[in-house]
Amino acid sequence: MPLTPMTDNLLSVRDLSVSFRLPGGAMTAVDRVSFTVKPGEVLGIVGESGSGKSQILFSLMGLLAANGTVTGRAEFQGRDLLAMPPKALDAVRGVSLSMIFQDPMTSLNPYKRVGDQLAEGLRLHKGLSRAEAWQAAVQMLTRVRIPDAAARARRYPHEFSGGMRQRVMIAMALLVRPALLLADEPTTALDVTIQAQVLDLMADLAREIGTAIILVTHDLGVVARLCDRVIVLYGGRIMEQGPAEPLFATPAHPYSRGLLAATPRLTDALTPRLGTIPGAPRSGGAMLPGCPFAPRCTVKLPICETTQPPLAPIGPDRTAACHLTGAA
Amino acid sequence: MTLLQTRNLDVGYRIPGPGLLSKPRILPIVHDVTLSLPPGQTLGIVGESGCGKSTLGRALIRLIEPTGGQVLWDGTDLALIPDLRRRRAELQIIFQDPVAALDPRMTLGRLISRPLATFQPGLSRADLAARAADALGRVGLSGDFAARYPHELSGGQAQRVGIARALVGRPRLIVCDEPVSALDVSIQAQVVNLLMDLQETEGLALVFISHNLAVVRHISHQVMVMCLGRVVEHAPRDAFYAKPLHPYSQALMKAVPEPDPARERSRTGQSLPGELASVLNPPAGCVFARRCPRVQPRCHTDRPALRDFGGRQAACHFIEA
Repeated sequence: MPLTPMTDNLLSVRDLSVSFRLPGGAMTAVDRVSFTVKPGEVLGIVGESGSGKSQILFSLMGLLAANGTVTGRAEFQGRDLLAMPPKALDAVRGVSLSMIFQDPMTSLNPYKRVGDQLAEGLRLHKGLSRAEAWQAAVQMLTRVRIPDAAARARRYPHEFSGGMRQRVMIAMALLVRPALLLADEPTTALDVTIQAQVLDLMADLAREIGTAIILVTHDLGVVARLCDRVIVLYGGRIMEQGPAEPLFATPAHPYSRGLLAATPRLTDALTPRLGTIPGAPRSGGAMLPGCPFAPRCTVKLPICETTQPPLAPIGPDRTAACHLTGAA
Repeated sequence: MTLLQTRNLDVGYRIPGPGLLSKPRILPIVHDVTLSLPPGQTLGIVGESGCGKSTLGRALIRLIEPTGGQVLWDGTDLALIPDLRRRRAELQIIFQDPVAALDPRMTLGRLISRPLATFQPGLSRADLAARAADALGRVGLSGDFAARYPHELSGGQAQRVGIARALVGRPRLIVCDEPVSALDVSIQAQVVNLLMDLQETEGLALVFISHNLAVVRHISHQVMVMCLGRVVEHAPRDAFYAKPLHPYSQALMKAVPEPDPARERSRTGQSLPGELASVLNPPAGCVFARRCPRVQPRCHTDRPALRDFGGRQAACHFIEA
């Protein structure tokens, strides 16, 4: 049953939960997360290990591990990605939804020339001839600034540097001009000057092609460079959400404030010690009855341990889930 | 006063010769490094993959034999210290992946105290256990960690154990090779603060190797920037971050994304083009010439020497004194 498209959102995620069956019982990785992405918008999802940030992307892409279950809805161009039969999802993934990963080497076929790997998608999903697809692939490699692209297209993945491989992945993902690109820590493995190149490239191409991006990262700097809007995730739940500039300028949630204080900078006045968040990120286990951040929060109230704070509006287009900053 | 010093240090790796029967060759990695580190201070070494920063770090404590030049430890040539194995307690190292450095079948207590059996062979079992518990305490872990195994540790705890193991012999220098790169940002801050606390209380000297310029700024007294095995800039921390002189240092600084959206928006589209160079194919002139935005013909043929600019050094033909 086709759903009617909601407003002007490209993607509308409602109560997305992801859990895994483990030998010791079920583990909830993502807990009732809701968000939207507009066409051409760059949304950052930031969080530490175990926050569930990558699992959100995997579940949208239909790539959850076999012991994983997803519930909720993810309406993309009027259809629910989570309820689609595999065949239909395949068609969406090839044409309007793409994903890039932290390690491009594991997503490239080592036995196939790079040009052939790029062309394959176009032949399969767009019905181009072999020659047309090859030409489009070379063009795209030029656009992601692979030097001497026509010759490079005949080479194999291991003959590319790490930064070039990630640009090949981006070329491959954007070749079909997807409406939405899911990017899971795309620059984490790269050196800093190469990371800057890849981030610039993603920003340029997103603008040119009009592709929306969901960028998952642990790096607040990367979010600041690329994203219009930010979701701060902790323990599988959204702690805070809003446009990048006000969120970084006046973070509302104690976790966002802690993360920003713990991130050393090049420019600020030096402090004798970095800000810290006590304890360690949640690693598995059952969901807590209260706020997932409560065990590490330095300003918690008794209610934080027992009652989950709802995600409540705190400003223009901003929400936060904290008993201290909520509507109260 | 100087604790650690190098004079024109070269480091390379032995690799097989070109033919089946030809002699092995030396592949030079690090060239001509001269530095000096007083007790209780931190030298930050920054650079991208393949710049030789880890190789230099290992050579500083003679885990790799230098191929030229000298390392002086407390004024004595490290190569001439007769009983270096015993003295190793003074020169320690911690790594990016501490779990890989820990035997999975040993308890943490034994892992931490084991180096002591080499440094001070006379210690009793009870002494060893007490020293391990003491080291755990100094890195902020409770004594019951002594009975646990490496796989039970989170990333931050594992790095603390790595530090405890380095601390147990009461070192004067710890080489820290990307110690926080694999950690979550909240844990990274905890470990950086711990290292700074330990430096303060124990007078430790640190060599802090990292690709993260912001972390290095926080912890270092002096900063060394390496590119393809050579030092391109070496300066006191505040002078360096206020105004990096070398075009490569400037490019690195500009490339670091900062958690400040307004500032970052103004910087998109300014990334440095080109790929990292490889030691297998080093340029004849300046190591940075192929990517340098201010490159001149001379840079491709004529290698710039490190020059002095009032208490700091940089290797570029075109810096105004």
